[in-house]
Amino acid sequence: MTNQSFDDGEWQDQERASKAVRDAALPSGDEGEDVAYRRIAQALREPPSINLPRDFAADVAKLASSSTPPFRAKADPELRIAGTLAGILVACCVAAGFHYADTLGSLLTSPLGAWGLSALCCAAAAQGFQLLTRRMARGFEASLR
Amino acid sequence: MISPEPTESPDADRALVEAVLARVPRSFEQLVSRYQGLCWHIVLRMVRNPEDARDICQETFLRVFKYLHQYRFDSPLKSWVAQVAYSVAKRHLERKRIPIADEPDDPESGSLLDSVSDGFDLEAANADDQINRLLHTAIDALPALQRSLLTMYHLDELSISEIATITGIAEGSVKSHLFRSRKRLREWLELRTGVIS
Repeated sequence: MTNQSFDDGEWQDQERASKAVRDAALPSGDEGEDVAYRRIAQALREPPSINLPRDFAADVAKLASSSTPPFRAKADPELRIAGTLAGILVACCVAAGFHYADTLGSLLTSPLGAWGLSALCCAAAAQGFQLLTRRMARGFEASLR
Repeated sequence: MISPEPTESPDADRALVEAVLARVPRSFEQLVSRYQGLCWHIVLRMVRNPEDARDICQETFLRVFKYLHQYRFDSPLKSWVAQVAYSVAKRHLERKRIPIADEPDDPESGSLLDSVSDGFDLEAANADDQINRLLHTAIDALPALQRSLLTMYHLDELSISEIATITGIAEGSVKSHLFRSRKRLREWLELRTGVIS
């Protein structure tokens, strides 16, 4: 197998041939001109025939306008469900906290009660944080596509 | 009002993007018309199957439409559309478990001779059109990544830096891929037709 390591001189030959084809220059006949690279550059510049339907642009535009507005990304259904569930969890945590405060106020001062409330708050915070990071990650990923 | 001319200047692109975001009738259709050729070149060279290429082009433009509000004009619209097309086509190949590039150190990867059919008349190969046909067969036998890099560079006239942004590959690696692909094509051509330079 031939050595495929980078050779700057040969790179220049390739680029010279490519430029000549791009500029539609006639072969110079110079000894330095590489006919093979010129043929390759010519072949690479030949576009494949575009086999799209005649109304492709109109059809895609119609499809796009019937789905999502361009200025606002539609909320992912999975994210909506996650958001709803996280909201319910937070509401439950808050209700549980009020319930504790109202009926078992004395327990709050005990180590067990304080620990339980802290654990609930932590769980709610973790859910909220997870939801937020997932939303940000999706937004970032979407911007790359 | 949008210019009916299919220009690709930054101002024309900005006007077109703003028109699409403002939901000016037929503006998105105009954007698709302007870049469908570019999309087709990149996608077809990657996936090779015209039916898959049509579906991928459609998906590409639907994504362009969906995320156009996130385009910040920090690169030409052409590059941004190409980036979406490349990304959708790459994911298609990954889903089908088709490798998009050779392993750089794979000793088998350099041989186009194994990939291209032998049903070719060497005696008749001197005619330009037949050499050209041969070359296209050899180009098709390159791995998907190399095919798409060569297309972006030669046919769509994107710079190495733009290609690096589109593909997420370092500029040095893009250059190296271009160099090695063209060298492989040259070696293959010489083996099939004799020394022609």
